[in-house]
Amino acid sequence: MNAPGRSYWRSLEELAETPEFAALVEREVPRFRDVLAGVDRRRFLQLMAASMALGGLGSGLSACGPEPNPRQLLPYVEQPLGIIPGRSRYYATATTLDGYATGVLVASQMGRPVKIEGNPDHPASLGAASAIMQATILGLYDPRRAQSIVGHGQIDSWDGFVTALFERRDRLMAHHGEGLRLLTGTVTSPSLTAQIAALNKDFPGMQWHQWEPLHRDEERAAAKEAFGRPLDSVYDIGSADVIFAVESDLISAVPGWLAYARHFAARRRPAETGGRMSRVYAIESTPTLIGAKADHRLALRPAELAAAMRYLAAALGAGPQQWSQAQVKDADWLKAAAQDLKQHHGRALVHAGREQPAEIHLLAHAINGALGSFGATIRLIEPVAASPGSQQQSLHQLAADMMAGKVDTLLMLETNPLYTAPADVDFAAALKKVPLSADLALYADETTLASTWHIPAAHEYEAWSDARAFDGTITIQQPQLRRLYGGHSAQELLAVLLGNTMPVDYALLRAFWQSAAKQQGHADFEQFWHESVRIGVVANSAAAPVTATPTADLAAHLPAAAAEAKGLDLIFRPDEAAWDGRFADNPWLLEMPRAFTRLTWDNAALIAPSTAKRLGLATEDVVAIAAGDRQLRAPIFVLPGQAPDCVTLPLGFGRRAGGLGVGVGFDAYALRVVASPWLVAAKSLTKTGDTLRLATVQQHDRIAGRDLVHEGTLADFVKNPHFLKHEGNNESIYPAYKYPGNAWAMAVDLNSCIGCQACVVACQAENNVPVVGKDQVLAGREMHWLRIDRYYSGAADEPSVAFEPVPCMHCENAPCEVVCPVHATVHDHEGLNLMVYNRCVGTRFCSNNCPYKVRRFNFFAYAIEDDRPAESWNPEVTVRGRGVMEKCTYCIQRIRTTQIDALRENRPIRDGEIVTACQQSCPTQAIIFGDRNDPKSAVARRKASPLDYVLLEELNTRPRTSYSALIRNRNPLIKDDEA
Amino acid sequence: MSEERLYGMIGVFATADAVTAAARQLRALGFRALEAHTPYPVEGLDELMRPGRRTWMPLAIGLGAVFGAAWGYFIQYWDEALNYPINVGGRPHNSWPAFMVGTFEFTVLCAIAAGFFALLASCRLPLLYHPIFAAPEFDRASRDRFVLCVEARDPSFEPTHLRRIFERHGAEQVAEVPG
Amino acid sequence: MTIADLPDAAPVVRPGVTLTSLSEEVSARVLRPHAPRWWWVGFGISLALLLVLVVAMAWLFINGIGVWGVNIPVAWGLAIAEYVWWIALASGGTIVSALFYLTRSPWRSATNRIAESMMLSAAACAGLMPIMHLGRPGFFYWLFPYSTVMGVWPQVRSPLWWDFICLLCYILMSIMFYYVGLLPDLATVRDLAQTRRKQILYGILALGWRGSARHWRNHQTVYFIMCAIMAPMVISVHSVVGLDFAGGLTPGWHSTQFPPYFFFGAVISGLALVIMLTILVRRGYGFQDIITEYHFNALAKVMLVGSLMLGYSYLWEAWGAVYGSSVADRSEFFFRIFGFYAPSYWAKIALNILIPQLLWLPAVRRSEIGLFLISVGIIVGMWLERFVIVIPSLSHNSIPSYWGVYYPTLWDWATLAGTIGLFLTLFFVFLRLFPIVSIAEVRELVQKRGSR
Repeated sequence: MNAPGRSYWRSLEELAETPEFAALVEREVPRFRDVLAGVDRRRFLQLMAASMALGGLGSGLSACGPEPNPRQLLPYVEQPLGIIPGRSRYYATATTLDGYATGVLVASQMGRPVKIEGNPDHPASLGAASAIMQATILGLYDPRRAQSIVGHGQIDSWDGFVTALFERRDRLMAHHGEGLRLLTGTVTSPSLTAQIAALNKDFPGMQWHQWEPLHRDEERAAAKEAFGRPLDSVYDIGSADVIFAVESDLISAVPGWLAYARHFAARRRPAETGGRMSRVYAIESTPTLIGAKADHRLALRPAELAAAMRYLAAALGAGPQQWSQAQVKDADWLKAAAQDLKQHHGRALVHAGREQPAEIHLLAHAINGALGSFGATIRLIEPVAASPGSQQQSLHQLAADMMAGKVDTLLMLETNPLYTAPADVDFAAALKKVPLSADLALYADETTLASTWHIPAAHEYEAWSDARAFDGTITIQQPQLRRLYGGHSAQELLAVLLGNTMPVDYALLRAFWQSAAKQQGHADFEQFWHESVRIGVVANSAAAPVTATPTADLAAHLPAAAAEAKGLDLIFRPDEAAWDGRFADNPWLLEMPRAFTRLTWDNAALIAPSTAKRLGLATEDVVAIAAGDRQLRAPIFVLPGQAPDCVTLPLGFGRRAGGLGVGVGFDAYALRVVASPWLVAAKSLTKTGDTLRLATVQQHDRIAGRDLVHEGTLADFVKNPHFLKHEGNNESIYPAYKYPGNAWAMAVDLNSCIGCQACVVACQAENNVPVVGKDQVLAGREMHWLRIDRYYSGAADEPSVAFEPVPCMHCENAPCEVVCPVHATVHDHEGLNLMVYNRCVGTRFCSNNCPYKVRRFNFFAYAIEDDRPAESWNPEVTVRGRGVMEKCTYCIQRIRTTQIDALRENRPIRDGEIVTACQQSCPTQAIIFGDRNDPKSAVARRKASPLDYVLLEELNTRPRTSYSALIRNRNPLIKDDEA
Repeated sequence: MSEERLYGMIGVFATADAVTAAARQLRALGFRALEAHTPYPVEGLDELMRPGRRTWMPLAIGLGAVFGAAWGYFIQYWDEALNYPINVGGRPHNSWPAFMVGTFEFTVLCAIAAGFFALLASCRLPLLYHPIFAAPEFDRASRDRFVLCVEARDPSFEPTHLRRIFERHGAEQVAEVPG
Repeated sequence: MTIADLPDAAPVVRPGVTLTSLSEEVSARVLRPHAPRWWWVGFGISLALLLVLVVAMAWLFINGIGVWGVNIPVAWGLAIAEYVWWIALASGGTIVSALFYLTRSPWRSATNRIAESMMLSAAACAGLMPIMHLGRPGFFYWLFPYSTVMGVWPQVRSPLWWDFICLLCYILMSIMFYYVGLLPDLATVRDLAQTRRKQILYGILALGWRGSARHWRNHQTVYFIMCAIMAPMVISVHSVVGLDFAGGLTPGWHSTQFPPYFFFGAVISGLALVIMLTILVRRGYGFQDIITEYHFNALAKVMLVGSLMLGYSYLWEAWGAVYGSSVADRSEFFFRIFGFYAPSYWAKIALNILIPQLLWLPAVRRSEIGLFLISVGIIVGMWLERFVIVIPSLSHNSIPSYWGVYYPTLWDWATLAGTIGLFLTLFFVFLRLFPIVSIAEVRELVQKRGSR
């Protein structure tokens, strides 16, 4: 470190010792009081930086977080450049999930990050942001994050840790790093990869293990076998006319699913594509989003899936013919599907989900090969992740070595094996045998507490790093503010081991990229750096496609289909919100209703209605599930569309340490084993007699004859596009109001909506919607302004699913307004249904009179009781107090901001200039907002569609929010159940 | 006691019929300043003592009602159409059908209030002291006795004469009321 | 009309009652220095319940409306059901007092004061409910028709505002109506008062009433017109309460029959309470002579009619839902009668319609105990009816994804108990302070009987 920097620090320390400063910290950030004790210089600096950032004293400082020299304090008397109070600045960066990056823009108000939005320039986002991405902002501010370095149970210091590691380092150096182990998740970061490579040079004996509980081992193994090396597949859904999904997570979980969903939906809007749309077949054991959108769906248990795939392979000439002789369920269905696929040679796509066994992935490759999908609908690229291998084996190996005492130094980077390891890997015991184990983690989680050292990790938005997306595109991640709770990045930690006593993430990353850029032949580094950081994408860094074809008759030497499965299958799946457990501490995600179960705050064992009936089980019954010699207790949730005799156990709950999520739900890892990570046979499932109340936000599953979901088939639509229109009789004794200026309106396309809940959390983030907790959800008091209703039709075991996002309808004849006795909810001149919080006295008549039930009431002071730091709220939106009604405002704050801009520039508002939070986050563009009066506007055009309709038209409320009917592209050869 | 300090003279009767008969005769004899105090309304008694004099209560109540109606509607019209016109649920500013209830309520309220105060005014109430209270036996007029009083200001007021008339109609007691 | 013309043999006033005895008997209840033991016991219990109300309100205002079971969709709970219930009881009092004054029913005279005292006490409870149930009760005054804050007025298209104004007017009018009727009796009490304090108190209250022919004549006119106004007024009161619901889009509420339906409800529940109280007062004060079987017989008949009218409304409601074209209405109705809250529906049918049919039997009409039990049943039944109207409709609304149920919490029930306490407390105060039987009017009856 350079001298001036040092002296500067010293001066800061002096300031820090003064009572004034102590008082400041006390006043501005009481949160830090408790960690003030026993902190060293560096920690103090972090505290001070954070406290200044938080305390308003240095808004300028935190605002300049992402700028080249973040250590330069700016006195507010000279307003920092580019800070306009009340206006958001956007900084590009990326957030990673299982190592894969998705580009985001972080909206920053006065230097405080307040909202995550998708980065339109990033291939994995295209402007959309998933629910999980939206929620990371809350994770950043979570006051429950670990805040102090702990060594051997004592609060210690970074210097203390560096010292400890250095002692160890010399010893390791001595015998070439024998006994040094590194455990990470999947790594795509070029800089981190380079560091690890460097470590390998210094410590040849070091071994690097990777472990993601939601690993892609099966997929990798299959790819390895099919192409000789583990290639990644990138899909071009847009050009696929027929998609065959085998419990596919293509539009719900695979890296890059946001982009896939966008292209998927683009092919599902017949009214916009002249009556042409793709056809989707889905076979799956537990409902998936793509299964819900499928035109034909079969619920099959795993063994049947394998059989079906064999049958299909045979039918398409991708497998031994005798397979087609085998007895399979729904043979006709599969035959028809096979025929359809064959007819679309080169325009078809088969995809199997991460959780499917290698053989099914193999069959998928074989079939795709036969269908000529490679190079057409599937692009193969070199693997994005560094050194892809079997993570199961890797972790198993590590644990074994630890047990054997072969490990004396273990560094764990943002992974939580103690919680996520398969049940037959006793990581806890193994860890006890490691003299020095350091865990870099955001929370004091299970692993942390068992390690000798805990280093609080810097949040992704707090540190410089880089990561690659599903297609290889690289993003340089820039911090959004000073580290709130101290913390260190993985790169800094490894740098210490590489001999850097005072590592700084920024310097490390710059250093790496300086060389990297040179290699890639960028002459002007500064310009390269500036552009890459600014846009959030390293120009044309996407992986080049490689040409490879699956080896001939791949499937040939697969064993015949397994014998008819008996008993109950237990299948493990990530939870939509808690994921593998890393988000189990995030209130927004915990309270986010899951797409199918509409369940909040808990996970439950999902089971098919028929199976439930047979076993005499009902939702909320607590059962004891045994597999092998292990057992767990879980509440039952009866889920239509679940395959019979399959019990789905969502992972990621039942955390034993960490933050808010401790003790929420049950821990499904308890039954997971290395041998078969996604599927085990249940030894027994017995009713305990106990019950657990589950907080679902939707008790009734059917539209009960209401005029809520218009649904039809493509064939009928092509015959007569207006086939779903019925003329409502909407006379009124009163003359209709005129809206001469802008008339804001929204159009929601049921064909596009995949039920991913991104809009729900986006709305919550944008509009300061408080979290109420399980008890209040049980009491029926959840606050989400936007919800996605899920309706079933057809048979209970094979239902057809409709997702219906329901924001405020902004009715022109608003029933809520007429019954408010105090003018607290009224219309504005542009047709917005306004809610005047400080005029509301809380009669709640408006909610009673709202046929759509979109109004929410503050039965308690939810926002005040919410423990998120004040600076994390969106300053653009009022935080509501106790006893007032609230609801969707069409993001009026965004409308007004744009109107002011337009006014200042003296021009009309452009179409698409105002984007509501839900619309912005939606990966499939299901939601469109704009000016209904402008016939050229996107919303006007969509409303002109023959499929356009409004909810409960007979009530003559004249909603501004309208819907496009749901169209299914049925295969005429399949005459099935639903319809 | 001299006549100036006299308020009047009363006869106390046991029944409504008796007091009515007495009143009728006094009226016939030309007495005008008559007043009867009875425990319950005796039909036609007031008419008999003050023929042709009509009560103005209905008029007062009617006016109250009219005022209430006007005020009630105006206050709503002012609120929704003049003072703070705003689009509520797409309804017109002057949505008169919705104003009817309020108008009705104000109407009846003002009518009743008018009646209430008109009653007090016409009865000269509240009046906590009145000379007649001093009359002996008067307290029983609110229970079981019927008191007929001729005021001294009556031109043909003459105690001995009156006493004879009262007694002829079976007055239980005849007394002078000091003024 | 005289007793001779009355259909029933039982005399409206027992022989032996004279003007003197009547006045002294009734006034004595007010003037005697010490209230009877039963009064103290009753009053004590009432105060205890009133304390419950105070605690419940404190807890509510400290913690917020969330302490009740209300939620979305069922944003209105017991508070509103009870509001309707109380206002119905109050209206019942007015009906007995005003409507039957117009019909010149002789039995009304001995019972109207009880009815009116009940009316005022119940109206007080009713007035409390809507304020308590507000999310921000401190701002209830924003409903008053003036520019409360920043020049904003109330929104007068809202049935809630109609209701608020209605209740406001109703309470003011009831007080004036009650006072005008009471005036002559206050004079009687004044003239009988022995102690100085009472003389002054009642002297002031009586305003110097002298019972002169002119007083009586104006009094008669005004009182008659007041009754003529109060009668339609009370019908409007409960019709407007009905509009609170009929004005909404909620299935099960949006119905043109609500105003009359609610009025019938008011008649029957009001009468039931009048009968209960009359029985108690008669026993407690020993008014067997002036409140006779004749009264019960008459009241019971009216109550029977009310029950039949209500039964008609129930049929109408069912028919409208089943025959009508609205899916939502139909399914809401079936939810009512078969769904989660079905027991309350069938209980109300039994208590309000079936059991009261016993009143066809003269024996039942004359037996105090029988009448009392039936009345209690009806009052409970009417509470259930309000519950059935308010909750299931919200719970089973237009949008199936948002169907949900509501469970009253401890605090919901505490509020109910508390308001009962408030009612009883007020009623006991009326009992002690004012003649509970209209002396002046009963005098006329006595007189008529005498003149026969």
